[in-house]
Amino acid sequence: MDICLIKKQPQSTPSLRPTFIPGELIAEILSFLPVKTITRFKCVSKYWNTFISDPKFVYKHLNKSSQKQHFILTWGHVNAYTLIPFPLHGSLEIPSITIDGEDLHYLKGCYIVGSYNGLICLYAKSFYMAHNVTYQDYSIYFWNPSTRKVSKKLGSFIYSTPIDQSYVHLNSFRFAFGFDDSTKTYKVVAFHVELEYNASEVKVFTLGGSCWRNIQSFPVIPLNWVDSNGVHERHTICCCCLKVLLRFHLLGQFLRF
Amino acid sequence: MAEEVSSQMNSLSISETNPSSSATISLVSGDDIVFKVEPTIAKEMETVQSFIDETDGKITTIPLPNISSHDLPYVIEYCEKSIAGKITKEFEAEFVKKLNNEEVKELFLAANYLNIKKLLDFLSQVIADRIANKSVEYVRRYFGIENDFTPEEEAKLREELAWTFTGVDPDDEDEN
Repeated sequence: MDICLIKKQPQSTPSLRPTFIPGELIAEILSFLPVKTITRFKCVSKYWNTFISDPKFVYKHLNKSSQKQHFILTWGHVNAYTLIPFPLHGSLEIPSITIDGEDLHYLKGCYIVGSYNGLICLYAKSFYMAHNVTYQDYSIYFWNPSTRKVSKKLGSFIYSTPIDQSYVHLNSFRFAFGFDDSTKTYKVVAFHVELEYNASEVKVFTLGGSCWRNIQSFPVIPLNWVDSNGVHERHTICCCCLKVLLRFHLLGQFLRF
Repeated sequence: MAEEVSSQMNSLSISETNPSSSATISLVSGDDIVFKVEPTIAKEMETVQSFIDETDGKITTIPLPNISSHDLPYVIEYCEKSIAGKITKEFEAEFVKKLNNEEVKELFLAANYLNIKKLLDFLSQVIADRIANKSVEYVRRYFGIENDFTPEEEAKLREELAWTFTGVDPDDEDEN
């Protein structure tokens, strides 16, 4: 195709007003920018402030940015971490990164459950004893490092056992975090097993809801304990406990292997 | 101004080099300049192609009132490269180097109007890059947006979002 194209020198447009780009197209452009920049642009005007916070725009941005992988580096002691999220460009090459102090986040008293869509789920746990009973006090938090927002304490519950039966470590709750695509909700699964009774307890917390929902528990076969929380796969959460791989479908069904 | 552009454009030859191919499509810019392009180019422009399809190919002259004769050649050039599979990083860098901020925005609107997904995505990225490290004031000027916050509202919002204001370029390289 050899059209003699007009190779004109660019000439500045003589209009006094800048070319107007309608709102829905602005959203198209902004979806290419990182969260920090977009958040700054909330100060541009009331309209920008509103549409940048709109779930439709958030979802659009998520779709675009989820093609870019992020890692979270953590280091620290027992239950205090320092975290830094950083983008992974292209291949699996590990880039050398320079850590910017302002991107460092310090967490105390929390453990990471997992992350999905850039949202990180954490849980906090504390123990106390009274009147021959051991109490384990759990709560969860959601943290979005991109917007620097941490949720308030959510889904607190207490699990108590008589002090002589409290194999505290074994009876601890484990957690798993995932996203239910069909309802567009984030869910946390908490589960634990009671070795001496071959019993288990499983409950689900939905972000946006207010309480845990108990679901069908599973029989326990005592083998070696595998100490880990669950991992989220597509639509299911895998929980490795007692060497039984359980798959918890986010809609509420157990699939067992 | 329109006449001036028009006379300038008429002095340039717009010709077809492969007469054996199927009928060319005439794209008429908003300032009445005719650009003859191969049907393959028109195919890249969804808006144009659906117009051709709707008329069973009987109409081959397509008016594009929203696109100027200044912008259309850029669009055609991009589509040609796209068909030839020659959209490289180097080509894109050269392509965009020629364009000032107003021209990028005009082309962006043209790509949207013509529904050329690849060009629209590319220009979205270009505009995003141009405003990425810029101040709020720069972005208002860039898009011609009026600040409708009261000074108190804006101060409060800026305070809440103070962490997003680090690493912003100074405004002195503002150009348009």
